[in-house]
Amino acid sequence: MFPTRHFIRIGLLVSIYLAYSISAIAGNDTASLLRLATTTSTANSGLMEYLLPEFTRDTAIEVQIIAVGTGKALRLGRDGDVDAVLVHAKKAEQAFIDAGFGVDRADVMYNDFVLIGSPDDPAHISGSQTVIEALEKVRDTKSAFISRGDDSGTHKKEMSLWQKTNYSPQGDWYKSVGQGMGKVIQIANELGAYTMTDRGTWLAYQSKSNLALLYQGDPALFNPYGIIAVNPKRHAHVNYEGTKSLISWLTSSKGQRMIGEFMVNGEKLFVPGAR
Amino acid sequence: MDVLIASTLEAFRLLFSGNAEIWEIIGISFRVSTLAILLAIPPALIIAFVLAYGNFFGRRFLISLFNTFLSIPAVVIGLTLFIVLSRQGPMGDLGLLFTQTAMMMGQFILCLPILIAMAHTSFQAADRRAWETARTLGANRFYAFVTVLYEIRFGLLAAMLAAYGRIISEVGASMMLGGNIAHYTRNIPTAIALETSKGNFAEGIALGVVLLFLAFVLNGLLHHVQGKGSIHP
Amino acid sequence: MIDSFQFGYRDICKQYRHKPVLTDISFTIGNSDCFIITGENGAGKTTLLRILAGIERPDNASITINQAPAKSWRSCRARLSQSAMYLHQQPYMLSGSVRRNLEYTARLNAAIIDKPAAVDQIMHWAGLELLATQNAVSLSGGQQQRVALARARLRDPQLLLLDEPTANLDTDGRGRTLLMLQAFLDSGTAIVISTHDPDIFQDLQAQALHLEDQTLFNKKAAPSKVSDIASYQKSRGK
Repeated sequence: MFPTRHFIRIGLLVSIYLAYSISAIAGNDTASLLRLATTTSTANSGLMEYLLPEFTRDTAIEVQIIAVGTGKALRLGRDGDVDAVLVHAKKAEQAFIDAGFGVDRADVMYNDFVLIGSPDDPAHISGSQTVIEALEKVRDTKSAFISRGDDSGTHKKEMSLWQKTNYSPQGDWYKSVGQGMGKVIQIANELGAYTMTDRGTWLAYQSKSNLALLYQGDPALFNPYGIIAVNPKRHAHVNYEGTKSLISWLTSSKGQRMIGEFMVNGEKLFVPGAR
Repeated sequence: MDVLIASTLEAFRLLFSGNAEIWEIIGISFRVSTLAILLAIPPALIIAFVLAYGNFFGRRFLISLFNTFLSIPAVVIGLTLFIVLSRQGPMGDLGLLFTQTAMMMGQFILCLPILIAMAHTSFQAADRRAWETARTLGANRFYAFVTVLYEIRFGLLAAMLAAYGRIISEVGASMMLGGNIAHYTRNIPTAIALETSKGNFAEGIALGVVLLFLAFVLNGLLHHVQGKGSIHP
Repeated sequence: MIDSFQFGYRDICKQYRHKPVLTDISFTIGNSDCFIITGENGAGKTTLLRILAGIERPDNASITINQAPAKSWRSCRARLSQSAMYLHQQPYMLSGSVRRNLEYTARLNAAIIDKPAAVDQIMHWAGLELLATQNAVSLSGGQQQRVALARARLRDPQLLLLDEPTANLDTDGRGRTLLMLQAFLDSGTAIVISTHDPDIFQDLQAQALHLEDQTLFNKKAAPSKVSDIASYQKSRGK
C-alpha cells in the first residue's frame, strides 16, 4: 500500500496548488473592473488594445472585452451580464434604450462599410453610382454573395440595404453563413464571392486575401458606433460609475484624438464622431 | 502548402521565443483544466464505486444516465451553464459568468461523466476479492476503498488521461462561459478559434502545436499505462 | 498467543432466492479448536464459513461472544470481522511483491510493534524469503496459499476460516500447509476448514463435521446432528 508519507506529500502539493488557483481565480475587485461587450469586428480591429491601456492608465479601471455579435452584445447588456455595450446598429441601439435596458448613449466614432469581391468583378459593381445599384447588379447576375447572417450590426446594415432594393435575398447565390466578419471574408475569398464588410476588418484582411475593394463612398454605408451604459436601475450590480468614466473618456478630446490617430496597415480606420 | 509550412515555422518561432501572450494563454488553459479535473476526481471515484459495488433501487438507471452524459456536446453544456450563470439565471447573483471559475465549472461537468464511466468500468472489472481481502486483513472501509483504487490504478489513470484530453481541447463551453477575454479567460482552444477567425494562422498553429504535443504525451502515457494494466507476466 | 475466547453461534438460517441453504445451525468454537467441514458442492460450506466470519449476513442467527448475552449477528458483525478471518479458496494477491502483501498486513495490525522484523520473521516462517521480491500474482497456487497464510499470521485472528485450502496444492505443498496450520492451533487460534479431502487433515486432530440438507452433522460412528451446545460439548469430551 502507499506509505502514508506519500499521501501526505501529494495531499500537500494538491492543497497548495488548489489554494493558489482558487486565490488567483477568485473574484476581481469589482470596483476597478468594467465589462464591455462589443462586436467582433470592433475587437478584431485592434482599436480596443490600442485605446484601453491608456484608459486604464488614466483611471485605474480595468476593462474586459467580450467580443460577440451585435445581437449577443445587446443581449448581454439586457441581461446585465456586462456593464456597457459598444455596437454599431443605430436602430437596435434605439430599441435597446427605448426598452429601458440602456442609458447614457454616446456617439463615439464612425467608419464605413465597403463592398469587396473577386478582382474580375463579374457583376461589374465597380462603377456603380450608389450602393443600391451595386447590390441590384449582384442580384441580377446572381453572383455569389456572402452574408453575415448573424444579426450583427454589419448584417443589419446589409439587410436594411436589401430592403431598399425591395427585394429579400434568397437563392443559391446568396449564402448566409452566421459567422464573424473575418470568417466571412475568408469564405468570400475561397469562393470568389462578394460581401459587405466594415473597412476595419477589410484593412486587416486585405493582404491575406485575393479580394479587391470594389465599391465605397455611398453615405448609406455610413457606420456609426455608439456606447451605451447598462441601466443601473435594472441591474444594480453593474459598474455604472466605471462606465460613465469610460464614456466620458472616449468622448473626451484625448480619447477622440486617439481614435482618429488609430491606423491599420498604414490607413486610418475610424473617424471620431462624438458631438 | 506554403501557407502551412510558413505558419508552422512561425508557430515554433513564437513558442520558443518566449512570447508572453502565448505562454499566458497556455498557462490559463492548464490552470483551468487541471483544477477542473482535480475537483472532479474524488466525487467521480466515489460515485463509480457506489455504482459498481452498490445494490440499490435505480442503480441501472443512474449508470445509463451517466453514460448518456458522455455524448453531450461541449457547446450544449456551455450554453446550459451560461443560462444558469447569467445575471438573469438562477445563479446570476454569484457573478460567475465570464470568469475562469465559470470555465472550470463547465469543464468539471464535461469531464465528470468520462471519469465516472471509465472508473466504473475499472471497478467492475476489478476482482471482488480485492475489497474483501483488504477487509479481512483488517482494513476499515476507507482503507479498503483506497486499496481497491490502487489495484485498479491503471484503469483509473487511463480515465483521468482521457478526461483531461477532452477538457483541455474543448472550445464550446470555454468560449461561452469564459467569453474569451484577453489575458483572463482566453485559453488555448478559444485563442485558436479567435486567431483563425482573424486569419492569423501562425498563432493558431502555434497553439495547435501545444495541444498536439499534449495529445501526444497523453496518448503515450495512456498506451504505456494500458500496457501495464493488461495480463500479468 | 491468542487470548482465551469462545464464540457461540445459534440457529443460523440462510436462504438464497427462497431456497434454504442453512437451517438452524448451531456451533461453538474456542481456542485451538479445529473443525473440518465436508459436504457436497453447493451444500453451503462457503456460506457458512462466511457467516461465521462476519462477512455474509444470515437471515437469522444469535451470537454469544465470551459468555456475554446472545446478540444478533448484525450487532456482532464488527466484532466478528475483527476477530475472525476468512480465506478465499483462491487467495487474492494484492498487486506488488510478496513483501508488499505482508507489509500491508503488518501495517494494519497495531499490535505489531516492530513491523519490519515481524514481516521478515513471518516470511521465514512461511518459507517465502526467496520469493520476497517476486510479484505475488505470478506465484503458483501453493505459493499464494502460503502468502495468504503468512498474511493471516500477521493478522493474528482468533478464528481462521479456510475455504477449500488444498484445492490448488500438490503433495509437497500440502505438508507445508499442515505445518503452518498446526502452528496456528498451537498458538491458540481456532480453525475451521471446508474441504473435499478431509483425510489430509488427519494430523490436526480436528472434529469432523458434515454439511448436508442444510444441517451440520457430527461425523462419528453414528452421525448425529450438531444441534445444541450442551450435547455438542459433551460429544467433544469437554
